[in-house]
Amino acid sequence: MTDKEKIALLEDMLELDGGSLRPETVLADLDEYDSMAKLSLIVLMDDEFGKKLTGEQIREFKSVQNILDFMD
Amino acid sequence: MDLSGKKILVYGDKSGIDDAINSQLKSLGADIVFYFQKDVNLVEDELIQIVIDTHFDGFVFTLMHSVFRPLQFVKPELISQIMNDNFALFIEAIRVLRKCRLLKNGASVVALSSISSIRAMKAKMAFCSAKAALDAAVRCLAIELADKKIRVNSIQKGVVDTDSEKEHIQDITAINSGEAERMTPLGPSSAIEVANLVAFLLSDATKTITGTSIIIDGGYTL
Repeated sequence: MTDKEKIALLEDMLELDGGSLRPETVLADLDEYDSMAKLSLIVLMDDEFGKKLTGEQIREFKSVQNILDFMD
Repeated sequence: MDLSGKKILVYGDKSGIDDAINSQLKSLGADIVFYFQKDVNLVEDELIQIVIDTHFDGFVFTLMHSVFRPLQFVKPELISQIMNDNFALFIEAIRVLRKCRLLKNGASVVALSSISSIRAMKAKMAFCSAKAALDAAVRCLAIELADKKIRVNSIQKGVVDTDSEKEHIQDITAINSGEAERMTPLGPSSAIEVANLVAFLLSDATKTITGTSIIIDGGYTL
């Protein structure tokens, strides 16, 4: 999956318009990145990438790029 | 409590709670038949073969299938699966047991439910709904089977020490700082406590508790 596709998945999950997110986007600056979004991220990683994401790992995510790196 | 001579059918999947229930019921003298099947269409044929000529004093349903899925991931296929595993399999099993008259008059039926049935939990809507359906079925079956003196109850458990989802719950709690204060005053229950409650409901200690859901949750719902 390309970075572009991964970002589209994240935009869809966060109910953001296409093109809203960039790799350098800081998560803390996004109103949509709330506790439910973090739950959704756990599910997305499990369903789409077969990866287990822990609460500890989520806390370490600072930017969209960090999430993209985890998806690999 | 004494379950000597009682034949009990346990429908479960060998989780930590199932292990505790099996060993506790056995130690109290019960004769256990264990059954597992996720495909609701196979239950009738299989059950009839397995329990041929066995008449049960008790039936315990322990299947639990809980998933964390925010609304956007709750698709029809997931709902069907969660309803099947937590609810429909129980109904099918008890239907077959009744149809073939495999439950003795005066038998006790115990279904494992969850406090999810009566509390709101983020991203657990499908599971909460399925266990609420199970508890509703228990109430209805209790009056439907009262003529045969068959008692039907459920156990609404909170977090149990052997829960496979325990780690996951901690992750969710870590994310939801607002939920952190909704703790369990007495901590998680042990699987053996749930097993003791199952044993009590199966025993002759009560003849009239029926159609109810007993909470064991360390005080979480208080």
